Amino acid sequence: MEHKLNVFDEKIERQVDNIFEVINNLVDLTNCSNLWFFGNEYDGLSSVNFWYVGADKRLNEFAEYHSENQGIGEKLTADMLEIDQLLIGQGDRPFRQILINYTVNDDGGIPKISLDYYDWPEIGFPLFAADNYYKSVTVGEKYVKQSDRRVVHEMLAYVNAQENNS
Amino acid sequence: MDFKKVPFEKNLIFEVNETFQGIISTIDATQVGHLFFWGELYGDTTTDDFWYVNEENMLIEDSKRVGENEYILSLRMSAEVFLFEKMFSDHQLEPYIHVLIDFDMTGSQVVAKLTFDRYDWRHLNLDLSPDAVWDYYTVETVGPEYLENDDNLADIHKMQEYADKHDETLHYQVFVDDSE
Repeated sequence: MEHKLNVFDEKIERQVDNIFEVINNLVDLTNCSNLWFFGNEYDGLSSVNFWYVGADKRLNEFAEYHSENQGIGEKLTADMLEIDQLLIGQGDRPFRQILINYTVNDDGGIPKISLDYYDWPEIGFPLFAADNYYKSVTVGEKYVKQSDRRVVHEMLAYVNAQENNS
Repeated sequence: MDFKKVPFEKNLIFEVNETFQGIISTIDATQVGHLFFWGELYGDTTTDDFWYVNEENMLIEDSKRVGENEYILSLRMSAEVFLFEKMFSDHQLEPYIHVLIDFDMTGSQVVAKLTFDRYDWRHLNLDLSPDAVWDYYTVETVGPEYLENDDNLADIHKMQEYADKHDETLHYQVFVDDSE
């Protein structure tokens, strides 16, 4: 992702901290050094996810459809959409993907935010493939199902071609 | 009224603050005396709303719930209804059906008074009108003068009578961090 977000505004910061706190209330991050939050916004269809590699090297991932997680998805979605609204309020264009990498320590999480504007369905990839793409670039493709990797490779090739052209 | 110590106090304080921040950032709070948040979890369905009065207890209807902000706020409110419930289920406590929060903004610090109840109004055979559940919580918070139909007062009285005889409520009090 090229578009790093460094300029912070207090309201955005609050939402970003809030996302961490919501996740931290839900899962035990004691043995986790890196946490990724991913939000995808596409013409009113939004989805959120987060993942981290645990001490056992397994990928732990948010499952919005689990009944005990009811409400969490809405909350994370609301925070993500609010970040977008705040950015638009500052004159930025709306993002399509937001990836927040929290470096986890005893005091909480230090965020690094990246924004993307890829219109995956328009480019020819399924909307849900974005999840695998960002998982692959953050924690490695071994955490992506083998059957999904071909699409991820095509997406990576597309992104590299775009970046070389620009 | 007895305020109880809860096993999920940290979460409770967090969610109450989230609820407050979510709503207050979308309204003009200058005249607000009390802000009320109401939520119902029935099966997998949530219903929620908020309303507020000025310091003279007159209902104010001045909400900026428009467009994208309204959608974000509705996601937040629905999430809170689920998450208040989650505190109970995570601690193997009997679930509630309604949550009512009275944010008292008349003092130097915002105080949230929460009431959780388990009144299953639809299954109590009280022969209630469809609006009665809604009306009950309105009357409990701002009195009968804002009811759309005075005829519904008879229903409210039946419900109040039931509630007097069967206390199925839990009350908590939380201080809200309203520093910007």
